[in-house]
Amino acid sequence: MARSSALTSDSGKGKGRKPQESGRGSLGFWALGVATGALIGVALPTGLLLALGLAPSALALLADASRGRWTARTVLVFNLAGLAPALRSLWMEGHTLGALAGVAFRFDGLPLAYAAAAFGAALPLVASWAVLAVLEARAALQVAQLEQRRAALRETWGDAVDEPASGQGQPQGSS
Amino acid sequence: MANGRFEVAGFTVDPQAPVAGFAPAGLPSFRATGADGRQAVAVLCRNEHPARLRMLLRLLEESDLPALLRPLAQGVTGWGGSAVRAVIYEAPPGPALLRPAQRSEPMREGDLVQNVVRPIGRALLALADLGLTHRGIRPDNLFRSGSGPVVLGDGVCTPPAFAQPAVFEDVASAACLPTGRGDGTLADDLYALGVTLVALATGEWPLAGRDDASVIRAKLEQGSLAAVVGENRLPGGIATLARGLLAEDPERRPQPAELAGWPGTARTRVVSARPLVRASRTLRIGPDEVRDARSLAYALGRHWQAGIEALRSGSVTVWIERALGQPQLANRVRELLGPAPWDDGAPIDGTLSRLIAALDPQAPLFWKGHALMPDGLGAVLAETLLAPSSSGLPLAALDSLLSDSVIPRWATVPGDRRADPTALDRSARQHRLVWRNQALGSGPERLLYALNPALPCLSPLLAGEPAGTVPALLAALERRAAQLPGDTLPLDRHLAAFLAVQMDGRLDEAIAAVGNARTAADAAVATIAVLAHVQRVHRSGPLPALAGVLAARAEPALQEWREKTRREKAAAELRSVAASGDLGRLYALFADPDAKARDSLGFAQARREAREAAQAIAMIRNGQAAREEEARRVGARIAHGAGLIVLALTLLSISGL
Repeated sequence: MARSSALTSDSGKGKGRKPQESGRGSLGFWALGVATGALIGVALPTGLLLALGLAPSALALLADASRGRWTARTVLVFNLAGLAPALRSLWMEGHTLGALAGVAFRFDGLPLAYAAAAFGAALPLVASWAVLAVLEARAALQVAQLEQRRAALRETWGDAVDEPASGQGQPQGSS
Repeated sequence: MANGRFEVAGFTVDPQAPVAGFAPAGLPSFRATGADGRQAVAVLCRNEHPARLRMLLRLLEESDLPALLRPLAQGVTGWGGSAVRAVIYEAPPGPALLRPAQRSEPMREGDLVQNVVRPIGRALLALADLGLTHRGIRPDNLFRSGSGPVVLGDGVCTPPAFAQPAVFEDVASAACLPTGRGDGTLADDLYALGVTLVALATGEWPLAGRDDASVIRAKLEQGSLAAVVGENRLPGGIATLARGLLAEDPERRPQPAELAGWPGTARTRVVSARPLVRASRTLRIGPDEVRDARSLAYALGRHWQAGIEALRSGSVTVWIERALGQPQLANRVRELLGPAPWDDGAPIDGTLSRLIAALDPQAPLFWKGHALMPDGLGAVLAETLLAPSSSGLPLAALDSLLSDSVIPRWATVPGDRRADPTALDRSARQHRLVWRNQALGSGPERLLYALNPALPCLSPLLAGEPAGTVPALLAALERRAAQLPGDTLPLDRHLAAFLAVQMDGRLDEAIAAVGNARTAADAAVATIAVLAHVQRVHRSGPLPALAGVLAARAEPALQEWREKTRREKAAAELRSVAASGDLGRLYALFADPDAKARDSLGFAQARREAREAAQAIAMIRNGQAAREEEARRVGARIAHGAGLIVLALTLLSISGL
């Protein structure tokens, strides 16, 4: 019973974690929206630029359900890095809706922010491939070393050294 | 070898020159010549009637043996396809005094006293000092040159008193199997001397032509003196001497010191026979009609089945009580029999044996129609195992005698026996353990060699090669090794038992290991261990042929070395080590204990390493998913870190710093 209740309890915790995480994601999403809305209210051009420019991050936050949302985070930081020149230009060029229209569609405007976001989405995948390649190479090296050790033991003690325990009393011939 | 001359302990024996009338019991005897040209006689003993080795070795050590024919040497030789012990005697001074069927002029009293009684008295005195008995005093074993003093002949080439006709033994000894009379006491020699004097004084053997049973019956019914002397008239002095020597009570017989100086040293004694209580009517036991308790004991012992039937019917007890008039003895018999009924078919052999002992306190041990003295067991065993005959003790009777503790139970019945019941009980327990143990190095063969130290090794593998000692055994095995069949180990039950006895039990475990080996190769290795120990202890020379045979048999056991290099090295060295003939080195190739322990430990460690390596490989091969997960985790963090750096650089860049 205790075991059953423990399982139930674990299961309950597991179930409770998802809505909580989902709630945090929604909270972040809504926080981003509120912040952007506030910015739109206080500084409409900046707010609009952020709303338009960070749309990929919002999508990534919605799409990334993984633990820690590392891909969404990466998309966000690259997205922000890509949008930063447009923000600077907006503020430098008068911070008006007209300036916004001019800045947004320039190469270093929204296209750069979106391209950066796309790069941020692809980079974790590429990085994991690279890491996987390193890990696989290291595993292969370890396997080769272990096989070499086994072969040396068989050479010294015969095949019986590598057989199951039932064959312990019957050593192999020297050939 | 039988047709040509052969050597025994430095004497050359000529089998073409037999010496008649010297050796007892028809043992072959031949003229022998020493290295210095000394003339001697070689007597070849029979294995089924083993020689008295302890006595022989003791006599060989003595330089001064008055009136005794001295043994000069002894050894084991091949004869008639088997190994036998040979004893070299100095040549007798003349012919035997009186042969069994011979009639001669009676010897005069003076001659008898001067040349027979006194010399034999001195000889018995010398033997008594050595703690020995002769057990072969009879007229055809006394040798004389001209009219000089006699010399007493062989007493060691057969079991004690084996060659003595019943008339020369008292009733107890005469009733025994010839092989089972035991060493006896000085009193037995004195009795035989008494009969010998009667024979020499009358010129013929007493009771000649009568079988042993009728001789015993005559002695029981008439007493020894009357039965032996019969109607003959003896010279006065000899009659007195014979009366003393043939006294029924051994304590009343004259001592050797008295005989050596007879008649001057004779002490006056009154020899009176104990009155014999006779029954008012006879009792029939088998074909015998008995009238007294002692005759009843011997009739019961000799006619075993009839004795059992008489016991079951109760007629024995009734007869003792009413006809013999001995109610106390009858009660004693009832006590031994226990509660009735006795007709339920239960075995009562042991009871009958003890009943006989109660009826005659001097009687030997009777068992299933045969009698023996406990110290005659060894020779009886030899005869039963090596040359079974209808007159000997059957194997089944011997088996029950050893297995059912018959001897110690018999010894507990009060009597005039010289045997110590406690010692008999202890030895009987040991004998039973050995007899029943079927392990190699034990069983009947071991008991045979333990109780008969004169026996050479009788292994069929030796094919008659003489082997009376351990070094001789190794030498014989070395000579025979090349002829052994391909799958035969040079250690069979006889060899194992002989070695076990000769090594005083120190090799018991090693020998048993040969029998318990799982494979032929393991048995060969265990055999090498046994023989290597023997070779080392006895500092025997190299045994290359034997080592070669053992190496070939044991070679498969080299595979038991775990380490390949050691295995291959041992296999490479096998032939050369075998050729050296050093069994200790050969054994080390197979089973050096320290190296074996290191090998086993090394193998166990290697096995553990191999298992851990296999587990690690399997873990790595099964860890693909984990590695992918780890790659994703690490890749995401790297990407995020890179993003933060890019963002920081961008902010720095646009801020103009």
